[in-house]
Amino acid sequence: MRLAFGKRTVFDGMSCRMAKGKIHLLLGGSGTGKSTLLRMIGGLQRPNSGEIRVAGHLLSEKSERELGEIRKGIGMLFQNGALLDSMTVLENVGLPLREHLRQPWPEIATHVARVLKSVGLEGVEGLLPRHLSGGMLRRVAFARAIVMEPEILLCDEPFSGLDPINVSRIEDLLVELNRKLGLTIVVTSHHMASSLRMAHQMILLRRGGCVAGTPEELASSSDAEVTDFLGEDGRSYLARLHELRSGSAS
Amino acid sequence: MIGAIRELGARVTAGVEGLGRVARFGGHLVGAVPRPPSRFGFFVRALFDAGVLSVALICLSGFTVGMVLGLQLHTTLTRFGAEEGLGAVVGLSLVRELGPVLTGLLVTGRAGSAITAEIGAMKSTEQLDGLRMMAIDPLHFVALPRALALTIAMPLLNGLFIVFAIAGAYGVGVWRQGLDGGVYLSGLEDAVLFGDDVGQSLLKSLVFGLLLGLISTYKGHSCAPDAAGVARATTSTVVTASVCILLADYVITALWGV
Repeated sequence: MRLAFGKRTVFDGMSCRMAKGKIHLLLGGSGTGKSTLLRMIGGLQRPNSGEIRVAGHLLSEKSERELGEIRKGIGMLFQNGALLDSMTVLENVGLPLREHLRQPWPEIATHVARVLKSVGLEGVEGLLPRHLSGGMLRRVAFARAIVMEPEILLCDEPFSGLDPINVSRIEDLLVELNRKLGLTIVVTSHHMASSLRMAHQMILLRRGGCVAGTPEELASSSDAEVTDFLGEDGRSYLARLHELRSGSAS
Repeated sequence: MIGAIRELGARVTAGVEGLGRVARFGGHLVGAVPRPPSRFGFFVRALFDAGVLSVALICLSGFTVGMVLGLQLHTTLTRFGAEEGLGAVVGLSLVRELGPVLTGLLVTGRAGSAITAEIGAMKSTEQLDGLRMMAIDPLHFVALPRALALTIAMPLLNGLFIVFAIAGAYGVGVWRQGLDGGVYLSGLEDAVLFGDDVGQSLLKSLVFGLLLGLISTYKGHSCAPDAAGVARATTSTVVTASVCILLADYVITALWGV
């Protein structure tokens, strides 16, 4: 597919495939289109040409109402949270439950409290987004993205602004969601350690296209751009991870 | 020369395209009215923001406009020995023209601009995209309650403006200029007809509310998602809605018959 904003080409001949039930890591320098690609998978941005298929649906052919039906199976964590600032945490996280399942508020409150606890938050239901710290805000946004138990989860920088304990908590939660519910997860992140630990596939965006492969494949790649991006630390980390995985497999 | 013609053509095309987009937006908005779920709670909140919070401004403005009218008209009418006609002139000018137009302009500045700024800020912080990703139509969730609230609030605020303006003119005409209170009120009662004058006033304010609701929500939804874009959209709402209100006022007056 191809996408350009005015004279600036973001994707030109970009083609990739993300397998169902796997965790995919989008990598790339600033401005390579990681967030844009997530928005395109969510149907928020249409390509100038080409096709995007999500769970068999050709997004470019769908009307906004049809996209709405598809989006019921997709959760998205935006980079800045995108919480509704006039609504409390409970109303924000419970909104999709209220809208689509028509659950009563007491039931929603119980459900929301459970999801908030899974991201390490308790007793914040009555607060407005402006009363939360950056890290709390991201975790509330994450809770909202998973509250409907979607089939596909799109996460734009899920670890940004989080302390190490919460990075580990969100990482564990993503892995658990993937293992237990078979969620397909697409993550953009600059937090290499967590991202590399959980990713089944890595997609490096570059010059309008991409290079994709398993972490091990990219670590052993001789492509100069890939080795530059991963750096010495990234490659040695992946090598160690590979050894650990092979060890635990044997 | 060719460049200037091309520029003019491009502007006209852009203008027509813009009108088409507004019409499409309006069509979607109307189509969203019967669609469930009900947004009654959001509508009440928007009605409070646009209506109740504008009451003080409308009352104060109405009262001062009435005072000025009372003073000016009494002085002028006295020159022709027709000061008894103060109630009739004040009533007719307020009910037919000044009430709906000034209320429309005041609500545009007070509530219309705020709605554009609020929706624009929601757009620039991806809150509208967040709603889309939750399979919630932002038009139904955000724009519709606000547009309906403006449409309902405008005739009510218009009524309030007129009442306070009549009181202001009464205060100046009767207590300051010495006109008889009974003369003022009976002149007012005789001159203002419910069906013709009050009906026209209500129709005008309803149309102005509709226009403002459409323009303010459209500008918010279509603004560039950054601070400058929101500022431009807010200014554009005030300018566009004010001009549209004045144009619509002429059209309704001409069609209704003076």
